[in-house]
Amino acid sequence: MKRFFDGYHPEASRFFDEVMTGEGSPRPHYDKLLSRFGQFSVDDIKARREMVNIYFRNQGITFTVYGLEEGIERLFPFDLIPRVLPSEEWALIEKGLTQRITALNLFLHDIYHTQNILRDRVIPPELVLGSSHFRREFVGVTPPRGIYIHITGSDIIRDGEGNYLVLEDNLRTPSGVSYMLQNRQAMKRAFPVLFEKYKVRPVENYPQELLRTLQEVAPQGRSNPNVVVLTPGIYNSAYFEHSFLARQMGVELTEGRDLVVNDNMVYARTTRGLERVDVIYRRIDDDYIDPLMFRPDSKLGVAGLINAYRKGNVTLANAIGTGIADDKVIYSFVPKIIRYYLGEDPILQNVPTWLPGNPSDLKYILEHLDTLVVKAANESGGYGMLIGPESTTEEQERFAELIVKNPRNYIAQPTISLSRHPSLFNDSELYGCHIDLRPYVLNGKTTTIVPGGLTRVALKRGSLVVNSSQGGGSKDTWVVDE
Amino acid sequence: MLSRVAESLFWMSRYVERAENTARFLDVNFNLLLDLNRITPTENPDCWIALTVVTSDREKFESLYGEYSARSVTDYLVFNRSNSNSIISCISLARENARSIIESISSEMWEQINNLYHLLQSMRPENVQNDPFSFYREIKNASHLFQGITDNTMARSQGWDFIQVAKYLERADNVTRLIDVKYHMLAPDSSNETDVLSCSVDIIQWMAVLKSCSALEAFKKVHLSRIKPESILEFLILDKTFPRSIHFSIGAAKEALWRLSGNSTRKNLSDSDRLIGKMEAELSYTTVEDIMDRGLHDYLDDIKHRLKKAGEQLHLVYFAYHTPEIEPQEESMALPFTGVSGGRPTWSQAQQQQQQQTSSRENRARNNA
Amino acid sequence: MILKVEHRTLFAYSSPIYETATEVRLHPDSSQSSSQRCSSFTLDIEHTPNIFEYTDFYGNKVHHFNILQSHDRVSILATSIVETGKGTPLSSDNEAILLMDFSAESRFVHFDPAIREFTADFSPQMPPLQLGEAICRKINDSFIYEPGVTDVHSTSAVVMALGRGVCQDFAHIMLAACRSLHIPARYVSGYLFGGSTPLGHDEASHAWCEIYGGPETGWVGMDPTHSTLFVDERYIKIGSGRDYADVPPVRGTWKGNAEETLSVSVRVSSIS
Repeated sequence: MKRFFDGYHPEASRFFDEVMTGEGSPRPHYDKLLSRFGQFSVDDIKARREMVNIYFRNQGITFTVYGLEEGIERLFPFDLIPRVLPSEEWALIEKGLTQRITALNLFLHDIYHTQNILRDRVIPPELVLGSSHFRREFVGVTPPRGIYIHITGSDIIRDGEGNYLVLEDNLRTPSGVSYMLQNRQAMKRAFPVLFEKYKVRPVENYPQELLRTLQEVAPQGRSNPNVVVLTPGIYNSAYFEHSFLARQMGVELTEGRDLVVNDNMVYARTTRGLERVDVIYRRIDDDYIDPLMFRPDSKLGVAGLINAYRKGNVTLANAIGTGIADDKVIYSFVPKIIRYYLGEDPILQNVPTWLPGNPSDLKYILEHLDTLVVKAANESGGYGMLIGPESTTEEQERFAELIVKNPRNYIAQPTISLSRHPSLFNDSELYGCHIDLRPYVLNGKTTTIVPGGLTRVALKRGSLVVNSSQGGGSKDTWVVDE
Repeated sequence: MLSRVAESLFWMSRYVERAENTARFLDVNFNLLLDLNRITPTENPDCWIALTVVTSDREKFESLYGEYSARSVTDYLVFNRSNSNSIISCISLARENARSIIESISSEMWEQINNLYHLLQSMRPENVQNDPFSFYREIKNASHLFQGITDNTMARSQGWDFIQVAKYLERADNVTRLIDVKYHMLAPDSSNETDVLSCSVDIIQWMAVLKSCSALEAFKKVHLSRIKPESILEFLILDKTFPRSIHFSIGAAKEALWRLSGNSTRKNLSDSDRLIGKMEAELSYTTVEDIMDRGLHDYLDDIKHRLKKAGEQLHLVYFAYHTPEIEPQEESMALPFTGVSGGRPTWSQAQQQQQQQTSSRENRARNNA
Repeated sequence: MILKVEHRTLFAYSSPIYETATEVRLHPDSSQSSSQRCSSFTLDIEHTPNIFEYTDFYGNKVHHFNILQSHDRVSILATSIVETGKGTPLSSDNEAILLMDFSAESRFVHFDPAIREFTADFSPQMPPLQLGEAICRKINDSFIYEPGVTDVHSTSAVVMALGRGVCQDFAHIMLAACRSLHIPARYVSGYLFGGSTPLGHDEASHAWCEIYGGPETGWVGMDPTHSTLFVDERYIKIGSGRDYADVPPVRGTWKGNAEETLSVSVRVSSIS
């Protein structure tokens, strides 16, 4: 009998294959998955694909793609083959991320208070002062429990040897967690038997954990705090997620115009009058959140919000100014940050990073533009990026010019051989696609990471860009107890 | 409930009801023309003028189209996007409102309104021209389906009450206008028609009015005798049991409003509660003779005006984005005010931009020396 | 000198507006290191909203208030009594990290080719204060004071190209010139007794610069708008920052559809 995975060849070379070893035999934690898929015919797969598509469409799970014609809404591409993570590998990720978030939180507290790490010249002060994400308005303000980062979605990748590396810490308003939850629901419908075979650790409690975290960081003395989600509105690409999370937590989904600040207190306008708001899970960037303090042309924000925050009358999650810690230049200092505040070695390594601000690094970067990945320091979502091996000479020259002109604004990294996982897209053909992993870390009284996360897949054969805004897809992620 | 959410529920409901009523107006006019053509085989532009006057505004129509005909008025009232009261505009606005509060309505409600929207998007004017009756029936049914889904999938909480208030205020307003169509149609040529003809035309027209309210059968059950204008008016305005009469609609709106304010004791009535309650009480004690004595047009105008007032007060109490402790005497002080006045669009949702316009005076006071 | 300042700001609107949120930086500098002492400060605001206060990153006192109800004007009167000329300022806030902020480009301060050319004659080896004085004199000599040609959004580059402007613009030029020669310099917002314009009128608040002379000397005030160049006891400082954007006297937001008109009057008088 022809087995489902027989046609799959990992082309093992510089990539780490998640499913097969170099010798072409399956890794033990994929045994059950392979044998179950082996029983499926092409029609079985098609039927399941249909089930999943109907589920997503009924849920209204679409993603707005920018840069194309206005308002194109698409289903977020979904790969039926789940990624399986053994629990001991997950334990390492969990420990590593907890360490990282703890250190980054201490870093933010320091930066917005005594700035010891700058005085000690562990990080050059001009890198912090020169970052557009450093909020001078927020210096000296201490958020409840001293917590700056409540919700994180770190991007983790695997190198050629299979080591887990942190590629980015997304400390502002990371998105995608709703896909993690919806992917799981869809998979449960389509593959109930497989769930019986694996002990898949649940992720469904994420909304409750999120709500608990938000309640824990409410301003002091507010028992039974009123939590709201703040969205830029229906035209935002992640609006579905904002609405989904509000519904799942059972809290109000608000827009800027629903909130008003009076005498340093934040209120929601309701049909029964003004109602005090204690905690805001905001999905609006710093720049747009308060026209009085930041961009005066912002129509999305709430005038006076930052002053209410400064007085301690409302909690923002995440705090203002966390972007300084996920600036890509500061990223390269995270291992030093961990050692400085915790006196520990980092459990999860960084991707090697060159800073054009250092003359020797700059020379190296300019000589190796055809092999490096260059990223703008303050962009996210895969925009403003040069992928050396896939770029033209003109693109390289353009970036060389940009880097020399504004070295502070760029970083360079080796083109990382993201690990590959067999993916099934036209429902009959299997091929290896590059993937990463975005677990979601919640940080309140304690640090909680629901086991799993969003595994993003670069759908285009050979492509390394997994961002949903750039046409990537996703698959369900199973942390399994053996 | 957030004011914005309540307001969107309110307008979602109103726009669906408005689209249905426009479909009814058009449907009955087609019927009427067919009937009349048997008696007076002339083109009847007056019918279309009257319809344009009560459902939208005449100047706007005339700036866009050369003549009054079934084709041009249908296009204007069904497909024209620059007419904010056209069926397609109403359904688009209803859908936009629903989309912005998708977490507050049932997914079935969203699906229904979304389907209706896509159906209209796919419609071509030829489809309507070829088979107007099926088209209007489809719109009416879609609206009924939406209301049925709402009733069966939504919790009986504030949100549902806002939907009810909106539906019944809109309906009362529309019935008022519908009777007025009849008034407009008769007014110009009643003098130079022969008695017999005008009488039979008259009856046909009144029957059409009843039909457009789906009221013909219900009416016949109550009034067994021949159709008289007075009894029709009595039925459409004053009947307590028929769900498309003015009295019934205002009563239902009152019930929903009082549930919203929790004023079962009738203490602390808000202005909207009071205005609607007063209207309902007056309707209870009005006879059709009272109406005729006062003059039908005048009476209907008064109802329209008071419905508008009640809506404005409702807006102030529940939606206006200002603090509730301030009781503005004048509407203009109660900014931002989303109701705009003039013609039919007295009852339209203002542009969102106006509500949230934020201006900055950063840097205006410069170090100027 | 003991000086009294009455600073009145009035925003009038063509139709009622609502939800005003306003921040003002009008409190005279009263920090320990300052050479002046503020003995009284009052803020009178029409509609009597509650007034709150905080100190910003650069040590400036900020007052803020909001008005929810509909209104068609916002009137702010700041009255202060300040004793000036209490000796030279102490240099306690010469922190290396803060100095970086006053050494870099900022929103209104740009190192454009024109400023490089403007400073080409100056030797960066000169002591900072001498250099600052020379720059100050050159600006005072070569730029024309003319209200109305620039606006509140004009950057140093725009003013360089125009060759004219008001005190705010001159200060920005001075900052760009000093910083491009690696002298830390900061923008100061305040008042001048006896006429803040070169013609001696008192029509608005004033702006000048402070130059960092090194750890011993600290910050020294220089005014490129007036030929006296050095800041003396006629000057009342409100606060300082990288440029105008850090210390605007009044800024705020409101909602509604209306035209806004602004009028400002400043009166500085001597009490003794």
